[in-house]
Amino acid sequence: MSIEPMRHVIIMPDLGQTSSEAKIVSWLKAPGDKLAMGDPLLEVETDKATMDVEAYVGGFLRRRLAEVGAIVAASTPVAILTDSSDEELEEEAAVALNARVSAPVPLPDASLSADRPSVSGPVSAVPAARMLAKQLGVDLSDVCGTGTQGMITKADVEQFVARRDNRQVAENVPARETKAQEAMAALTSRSKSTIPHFYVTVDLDMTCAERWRVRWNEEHPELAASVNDCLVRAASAALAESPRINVAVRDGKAEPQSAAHVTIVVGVDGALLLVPVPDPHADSVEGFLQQMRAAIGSAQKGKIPVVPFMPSLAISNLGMFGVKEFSAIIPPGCAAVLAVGALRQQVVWREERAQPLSVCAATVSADHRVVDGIAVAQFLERMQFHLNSL
Amino acid sequence: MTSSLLTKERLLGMYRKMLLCRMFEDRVNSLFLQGRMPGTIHQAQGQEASAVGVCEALSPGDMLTSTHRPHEHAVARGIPVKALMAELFAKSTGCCHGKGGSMHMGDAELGMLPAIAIVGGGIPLATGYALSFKYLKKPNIAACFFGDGAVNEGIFHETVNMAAIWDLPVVFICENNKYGASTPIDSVMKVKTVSARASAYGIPGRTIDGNDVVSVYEAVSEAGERARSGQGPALLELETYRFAGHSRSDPGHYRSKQEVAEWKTKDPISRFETRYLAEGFLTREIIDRCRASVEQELNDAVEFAESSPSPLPEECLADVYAE
Repeated sequence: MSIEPMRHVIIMPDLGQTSSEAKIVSWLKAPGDKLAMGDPLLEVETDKATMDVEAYVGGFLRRRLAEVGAIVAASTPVAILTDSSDEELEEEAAVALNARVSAPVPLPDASLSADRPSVSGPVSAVPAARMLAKQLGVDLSDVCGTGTQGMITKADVEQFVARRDNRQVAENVPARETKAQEAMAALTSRSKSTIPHFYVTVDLDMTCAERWRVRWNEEHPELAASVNDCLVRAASAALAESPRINVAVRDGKAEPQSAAHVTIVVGVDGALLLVPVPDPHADSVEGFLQQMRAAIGSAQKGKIPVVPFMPSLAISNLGMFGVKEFSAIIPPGCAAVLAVGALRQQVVWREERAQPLSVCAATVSADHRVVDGIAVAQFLERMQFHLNSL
Repeated sequence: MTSSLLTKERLLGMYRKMLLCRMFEDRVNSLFLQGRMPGTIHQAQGQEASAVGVCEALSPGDMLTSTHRPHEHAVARGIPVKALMAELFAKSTGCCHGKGGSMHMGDAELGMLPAIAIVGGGIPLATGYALSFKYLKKPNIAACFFGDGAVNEGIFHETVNMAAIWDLPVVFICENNKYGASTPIDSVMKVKTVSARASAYGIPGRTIDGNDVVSVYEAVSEAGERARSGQGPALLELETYRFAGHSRSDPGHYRSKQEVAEWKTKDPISRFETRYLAEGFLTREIIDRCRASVEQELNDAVEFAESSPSPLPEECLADVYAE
């Protein structure tokens, strides 16, 4: 390895025994400090112990990318070192750290695309990629590396050439999509492997809600309510009355919430986004419907507002696709997720006669560390009550 | 055998091997910190004299078994560094074709059984090899590394006893680095030395300065010659210290900073340098040249490993079952 990059990204190493994230306890160096190889740079707390993370290379600490207290997933960049103390740092804005969403953040080098100005200094690439680039006359500094630490692989060079020869290929692969998909993959893997899920399914009677909705939509054609709107509002109202389930979860422990915030799962460009909606039952119906439209509208533009609260319930709806019922994975931080299927007509025997009802299946996946089945069943009862009284 | 019988070339070879062990471990740590190398690793920085002194006393046909901390053993035994590095990267060019990883380094054809991470797991295997050498009347011996944590396992007692009664050609080598993971040895053993146990089996036992490569080499050579000549096994205790934690997830808070600092003054590599710089046959130029050539060897190994292919899915059952 004759190539010595001038800028070094220090990542959170995978130090845990059962978890691949660690909390930053303290920084042992300040920006501008000089480090020798092996010097402790920061102190982190893993699932087992508190320990130092050493610099794998010497240099000057230029940027600290995470605050004390942040929980950081392994492989996430935490600091940038440079060989000289005054070296210019471009592209630093590309390194953003969202400690709560512990998805690995692409390294600065990896976020460079062919359309951006290339960073000065040597390029990191595997030998096979160098050879291929030489054969095809490709300048490696134009290529976006997707390998470890943004290293350019042979496939990257091949992809670059395909893109250069046919720019349409590039236009079909927006970078944001991949990043959101990566985040989704990381979140769901972590959730399903660390949260003890259990499931409770009921058929919600939507007859009254549907009657209300048809009437509302006739009177307010400019602000029509969807089935999903009815469900979100009723769920939030029920949540407000169910303190045992209205908890946010941090480190496996319940944190009671004073308001009934929810988050809705919105599918955008092949990835799922979690869109927070603050206390949706508290506002007037008009205010609520406008709030929902704004939240979903901004999600479709790829913008998720940063909110100062932790929703306790997520709501996912596949009813519009005719799905009968399904169970969802709990987003980390929530106590439960409500998965709703399609509205269907059913005839039931009630009050000595056959009655047509509109129903939809609702399955709550809940975190058994903080919630039990009775709490979930009572919540669903309250939700039915609020659907009946919209 | 005494150090006067070691030629300068031999001593320099041992020195370079210790450097290779240390710098291999340091490089692995750096690759781990960069996120380039996956997995849990148990590192052995500080125990180079033990690895190199023992392996130097073995012949090509002898068999070595190792532990969950096998990197330096494998480097010292002469398994190509490229194959070891590739194994750590889980590549098909690794010594176990990328399917073993850090705790299973070795190559039986090169005289080291792929390591077994189970504490004490190598002891009966080495003894089995010794039994086969004796039965087949081969001139070879087996040697097995284990830690101080292994000597209170039942398998240690049963196997050493069996090797003793059958006079098997095996050398039991306890790397006493003072801690079984985080447990200090004196809290789990009443006798002061592991070697004192030897008398219970009627075999020779010795405690040796495990950070002095020449002492280790001489002791293992002597025990090895004894075993080769049919006089049975011996138990050697090499007193040493690992500078790092038990594994990468262990900060080693159970040891005082003072204790670690004291042992660092007994660093086997700097001790060797100090001694032989003073005697005059080692020079700064030789040291620099050695370091540069080791650095290059490791660079080549990393490049080889990173550019090697991963094992193919259809190969997942190959080398798993006996044919």
